[in-house]
Amino acid sequence: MAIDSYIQRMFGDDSPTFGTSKVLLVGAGGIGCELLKDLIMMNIGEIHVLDLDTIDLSNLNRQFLFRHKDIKQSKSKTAIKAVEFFNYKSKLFSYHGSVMDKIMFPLSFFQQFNVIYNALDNLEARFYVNRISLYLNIPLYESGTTGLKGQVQPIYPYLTECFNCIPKETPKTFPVCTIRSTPSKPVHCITWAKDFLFSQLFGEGDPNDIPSPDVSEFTNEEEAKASANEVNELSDLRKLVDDSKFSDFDFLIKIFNKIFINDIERLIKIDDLWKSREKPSFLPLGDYLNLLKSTGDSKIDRVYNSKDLDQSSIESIFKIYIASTLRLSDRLRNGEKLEFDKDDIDTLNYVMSTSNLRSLIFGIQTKSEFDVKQIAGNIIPAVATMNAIMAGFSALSSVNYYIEKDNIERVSKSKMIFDSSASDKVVNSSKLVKPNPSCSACSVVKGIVKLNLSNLKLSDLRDKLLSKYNYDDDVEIMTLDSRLLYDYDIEENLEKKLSDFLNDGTVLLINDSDEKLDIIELYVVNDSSSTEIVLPELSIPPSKKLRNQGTNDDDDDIEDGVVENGDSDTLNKDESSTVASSTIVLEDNDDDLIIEEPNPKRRKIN
Amino acid sequence: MDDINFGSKYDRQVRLWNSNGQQSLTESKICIINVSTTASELLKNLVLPGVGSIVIIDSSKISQNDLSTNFFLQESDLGSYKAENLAKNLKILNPDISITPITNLQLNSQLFSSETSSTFWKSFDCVIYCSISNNSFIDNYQDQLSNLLWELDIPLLKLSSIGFFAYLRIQLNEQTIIESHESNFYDLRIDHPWNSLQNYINSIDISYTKNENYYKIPYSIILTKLIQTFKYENDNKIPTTSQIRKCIKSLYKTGDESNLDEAYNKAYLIMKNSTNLSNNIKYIFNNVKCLNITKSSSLFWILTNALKSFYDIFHILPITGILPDMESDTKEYINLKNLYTEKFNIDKKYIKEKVIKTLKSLDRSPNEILNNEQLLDLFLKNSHYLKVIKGTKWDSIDKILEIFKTDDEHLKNKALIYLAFLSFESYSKEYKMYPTINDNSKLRAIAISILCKNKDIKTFPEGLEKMLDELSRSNGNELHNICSIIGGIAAQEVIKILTNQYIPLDNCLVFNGITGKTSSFKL
Repeated sequence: MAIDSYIQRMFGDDSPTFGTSKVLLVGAGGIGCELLKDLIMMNIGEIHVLDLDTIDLSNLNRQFLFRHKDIKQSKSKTAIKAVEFFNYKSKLFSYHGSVMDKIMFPLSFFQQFNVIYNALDNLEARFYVNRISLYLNIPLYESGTTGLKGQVQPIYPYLTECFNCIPKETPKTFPVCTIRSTPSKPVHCITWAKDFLFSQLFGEGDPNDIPSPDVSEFTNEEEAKASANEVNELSDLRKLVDDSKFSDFDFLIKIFNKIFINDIERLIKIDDLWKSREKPSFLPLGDYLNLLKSTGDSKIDRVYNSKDLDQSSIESIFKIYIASTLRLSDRLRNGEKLEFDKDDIDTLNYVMSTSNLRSLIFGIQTKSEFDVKQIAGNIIPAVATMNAIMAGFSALSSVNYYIEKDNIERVSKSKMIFDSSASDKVVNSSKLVKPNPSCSACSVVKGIVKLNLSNLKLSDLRDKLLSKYNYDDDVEIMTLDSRLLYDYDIEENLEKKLSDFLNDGTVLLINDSDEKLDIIELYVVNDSSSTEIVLPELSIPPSKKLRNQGTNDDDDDIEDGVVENGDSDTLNKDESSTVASSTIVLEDNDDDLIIEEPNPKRRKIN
Repeated sequence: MDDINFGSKYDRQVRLWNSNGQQSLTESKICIINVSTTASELLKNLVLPGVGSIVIIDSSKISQNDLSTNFFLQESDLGSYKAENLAKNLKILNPDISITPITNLQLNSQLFSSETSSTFWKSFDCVIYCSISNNSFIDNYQDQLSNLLWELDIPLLKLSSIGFFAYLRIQLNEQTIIESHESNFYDLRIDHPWNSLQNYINSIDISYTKNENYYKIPYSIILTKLIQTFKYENDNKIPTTSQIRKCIKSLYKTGDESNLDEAYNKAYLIMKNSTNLSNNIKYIFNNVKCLNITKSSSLFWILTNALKSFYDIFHILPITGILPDMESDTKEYINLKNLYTEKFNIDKKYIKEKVIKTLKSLDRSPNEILNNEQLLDLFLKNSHYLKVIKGTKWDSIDKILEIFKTDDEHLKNKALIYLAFLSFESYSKEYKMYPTINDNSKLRAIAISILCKNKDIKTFPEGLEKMLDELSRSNGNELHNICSIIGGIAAQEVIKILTNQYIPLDNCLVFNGITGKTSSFKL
């Protein structure tokens, strides 16, 4: 039986819409490869695959459409080429680019799809696609795995929880001063080595372009000044590297002295920093001047000995420091553009050895290659089995879309899937939940505004808003990324052209200055042929403040029983997340009886 | 396989089961019987992570229906052997592994009947049996296979998928797991410091008025100190987490003390009682194999026997010796770490000597443990989280009928799909074909005849009819999506068994793709 009649028979005669549907698959990685296969075997009419990434050796343990020879090729294009050998009827299209690239993928691009499947590895893009699905009211199937955990969330905009409805655990960030002046954990030194030192000394672009750190982020003025100086001096060091030759060794010592001696001496002098901290010390570096010597053979200087990778002695740290600095300098002189990549041995070794040198100085434990790679590379464990399971559930949940006639039916039949906490279980499922009424994404009234950005002034937009939506007094106009364009205090922008601050795809937040009407969100579509501002028909509810008067959401920051975040640099199992799991024992059989509220802490998504 | 590959191609999964787990996978040999779509999806998930060698037994040929569900068989291969083509296509996914197809029917029948057959099966670490296929021949050997593998102590997985339903049954004799990955907390002994740690704690003052280095003290010491002071001042009452947090707040001077922040965040650790035994450990300590060591006892049981004797004397398990990163200065941290390492070595010495004594009393060589220091360390580090699974043999009908005798509606509901599958398999054995939608009544009659084998079952289980209908509607056909999910689940269980890490399913799982639910129960 051919695949189309086979599918027809398996799903019954109610003419499911598999073959006439057009879907977008965002991500061709671990889940994406599996999902592409599952969708092809569902005989979906058109499948468009989008991914910005290229293939890497460490993908091959699970991304089954890729081979060793495909390394460095585009994921989306290779995936589609790989399935050409198999039998299918679906039409396939691939795009190599970021889903957040508004020029490549304007709102109109997404409009053509019946369903969007997310198979992404980062929160930013997930939030982005979630918003797109809200603007266009397209069902979104969200999925993710972390090691042996995973989840699938079908999202029917405004009918069920969206991706933004439940707060997500965002990657931990550190205060600038912790990274730059007062590290106390290995992760601080690794972040410094990777995001500051490496990127400024070997990374892309002109170091002069890098803005000095914002003074307000430092509590101490001297500290801020010291920090700003470091940046300037790094550009001098970069020149040293650029001007060096293969046989040179001195520049390496100069760089070391600047970064690990002079800069630290400067920090030591700022007494305020060390009132409740141990001062950094050079003693743990041992006889560093001696350790920094060349072997006399430029080639041998550049060799990594595998025994040095455990970084257990000062000698091993210095050896890796020397070899990686020399090798990176060679590559830079050869005109290569460098960026940190956990799978690029030179960049990894440089970050490893410099972070360990810094750790020594600040009295912090040093870390081995395996550990540094995990921390610096934000490595999330991944295995074929869990990807197959979650991709399978994503495809299976979406079957309801194709066989049911309306969204109400689809919502009532769809299930959310998440990994089980009990060891005798594979997954738990729950019915879809209504949207969170205070969600900052889906509870906000939205619309699309079409206008010609280069013809109109901000005042035109403001006037139109005031008349169209009957605001009593005035409005504030902000962008989604918190740039304030206009309020009654800031009038200087009014006569500027909209194209000065808006692009196609900018999202605007419009706030009632009287706080009577709720905030609204407008997606800007630049239409150079239009002369008018076409605002969408919206019914704006009263502001949430008016609606929720009396509710108080100031909670004590930490309460008993609340499970704390684990340290992001804990390499072993995150002890706190399993605290939660060990206490929940659930059954999935009777969804009327027990529905496990997915614990937001455990929905770390990758 | 060289080390480079362990560190890169398999990097993302080595972070789940470490290089010893990867080593086990690479050295494993498995066998799969019958090529279905479920089997193909399952194998893909074992080929990718690098299961060393795979034997595929199937003598059937590729049909058009196979192409409609099986992604790994190609149109150009229509009419040729499934096992050969699957082996060829999967080999491309991972050139490191060896895949051997066996399509010779003669060989197959020898494999199951000849007396020398056990040598063939002995070479496998795990056998997977996919029960639904067009190849009814092998089905006659199901019970023989199950008996043989049970005797040989080789894990056997049986699984199948029809339409929207699937099941997985694991038959394994006994699985003794050291690395269960169940550890929740670091073993800091905040509530139970040993002498040298207590002495060290006594020598430290945590108040800033008395100790100018108060901001360098690791949080475990602060918490221990606070509990002890609290108990002293409150008639030995144990403080709550919030009481401890209140105490921590009073320790701040500048507000910038990161060690105090950490103590505050980790204050919930005071709830842990170090002398409590988990149910898993209690189960192990009560196990005959732990209590009665014999000449043939495995090292695992000899180690647990030593662990029990440790617990009987000290009323606490040995320390795991793992100290997490803490906010503190190096000197303070190293001091503490040395104390933990020292204690670990003392506890380890006890266990080691006890094991050596046991080995000697059994006339076995002490080198078994002396040459296996790594195992000893691993055992101690995981000694709070050991897990033993005692499996059951897959006597297909009797055990499931026991469930339908009971009043446990919840359990019965879970077991319905499994019973429906057994009826379906029984039907195809009897009629040499799969039931279609028109054979409903015959399939129902088979189900009734199965139920009648247990005299105590009086009623036809509610909901079973619907399950039987779905199976006959599908006429034994698989749905790719369902195969992909059950193939993923089963492969994950195979990996747990082969690496002997994480706790495998014990021992039956059903999947209902219409409701999207998995349920598991023990037969």
